[in-house]
Amino acid sequence: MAGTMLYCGIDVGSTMCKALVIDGARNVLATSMQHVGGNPDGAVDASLDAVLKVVKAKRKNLSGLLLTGRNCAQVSGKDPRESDLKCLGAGAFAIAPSTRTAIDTGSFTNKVIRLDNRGRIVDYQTNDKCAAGAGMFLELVCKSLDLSIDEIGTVALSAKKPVPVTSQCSIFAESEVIYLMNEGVSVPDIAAGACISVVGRLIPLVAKVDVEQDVILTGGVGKNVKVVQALEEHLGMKMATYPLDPQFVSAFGAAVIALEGANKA
Amino acid sequence: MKYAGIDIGSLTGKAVIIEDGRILSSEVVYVKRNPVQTSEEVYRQALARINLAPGDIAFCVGTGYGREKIPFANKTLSEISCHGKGAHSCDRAIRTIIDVGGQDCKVITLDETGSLKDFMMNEKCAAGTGRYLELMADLLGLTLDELGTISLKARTPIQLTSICSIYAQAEVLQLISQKSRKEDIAAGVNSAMAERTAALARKLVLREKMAVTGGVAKNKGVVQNLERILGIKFTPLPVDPQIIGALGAAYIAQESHKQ
Repeated sequence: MAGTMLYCGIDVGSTMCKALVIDGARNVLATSMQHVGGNPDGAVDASLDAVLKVVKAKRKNLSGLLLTGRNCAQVSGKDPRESDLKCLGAGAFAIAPSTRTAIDTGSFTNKVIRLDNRGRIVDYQTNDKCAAGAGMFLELVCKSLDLSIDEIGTVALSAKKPVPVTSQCSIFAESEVIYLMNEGVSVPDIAAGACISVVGRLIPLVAKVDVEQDVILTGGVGKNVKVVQALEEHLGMKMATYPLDPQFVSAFGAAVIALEGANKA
Repeated sequence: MKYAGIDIGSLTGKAVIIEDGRILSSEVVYVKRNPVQTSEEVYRQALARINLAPGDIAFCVGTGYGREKIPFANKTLSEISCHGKGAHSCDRAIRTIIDVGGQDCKVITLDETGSLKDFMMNEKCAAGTGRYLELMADLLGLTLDELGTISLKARTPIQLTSICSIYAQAEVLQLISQKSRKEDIAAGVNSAMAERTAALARKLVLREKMAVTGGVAKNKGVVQNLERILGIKFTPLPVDPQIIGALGAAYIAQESHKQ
């Protein structure tokens, strides 16, 4: 794509590395997601190669590249980095300037940010001490239920009587689910209970910021329809939805910041 | 008269058979599909070892996380009481017991008569329980026993920054991919484990003699770190530290029956 300005944002998360390329008009041209698996450098290279292949460009053709995410400090090299809160905010605001609250549920951490009408972060809350209530909780529940993380939300919708998963600790949730299955509780009922439990852990964090609409749910858990439904019920608000995969919002924000930085320079 | 104590934990089931205060047989098995099966299997094995049948047992006390599911128990009691009783009957001078189980950690203090004074328990968070060590051993491709012995050969123990077991898994995975020595990682794991246990223990007034029980007592790396952090020496118990709860249950069975 000769002549097109290209900007890449790479969000090196706890379990997944997300790369995304935009053009000068902020159109998303390519996305790629790779497992981090203890090798952040390898994941960055793999995801970057994948998006560059789609846009038929080389690394040197990029007009801007910015790294973010919980694991970006582990990446070697001198590529610039930006905090995950800033990239989340930039991404959420770039998707829709009407966004005022972004709730991000990653595999290890939960974050909530409040934006003003210019996209500046006016308040935030994070939980990064422990994986209770984060995406990993659902991953481990899925492992016990023999479901994929992509299907647990839809399976949960067919629940008759959700049974809550009461363990705070994600590790203990895994064994609790096995116990519930042995007790004869159905897979949809456990799946729904687990999704509701995640929302139960998110609410105290969300309650600490003054939630204002539009609200978006980002991160991998943002794709879980049952979590979205339960969160909407709890907050009494609808989540705003957009075509961009919620797991790529921070990578999108990083790309947008790279573009803005290049324009300023 | 012969008495039985059964301790059904989250990871293992333990059975002890005694007669006149003397241990005739003991057994430890990994948990089966459910606590009922675990208790039946460990009981059968402990009895078979000395050619006895359930009918030969005068009274049986059940304890542990799965105690309510033991079909043949005449009575059940909390593991706090049973661990206290078991340790006290091994050594009358024991005043503090640190018990690290598969999914919990308990610190128990006793008075001179062996009665419970105070206790603290963590059953909410996997950090500081046997589950944490199991997860780390799995990542390192080691057995739980190896995790303990290998750590003693560390040159420069790596200090882990995470408390959460899930975060620690990612941290250890990264250390492995950076080709850190297994011995050094194992030492870091055992030290982090001991830090969590010590944090719980420090919430109580600790009096010596102190004993460490449960499966983790067999991990020398954790035990040495605990001694270092708490500035104490553990008193070795004359029996397998993993069966202390079941042993206490058996003693209580003997007392209950005599009354």
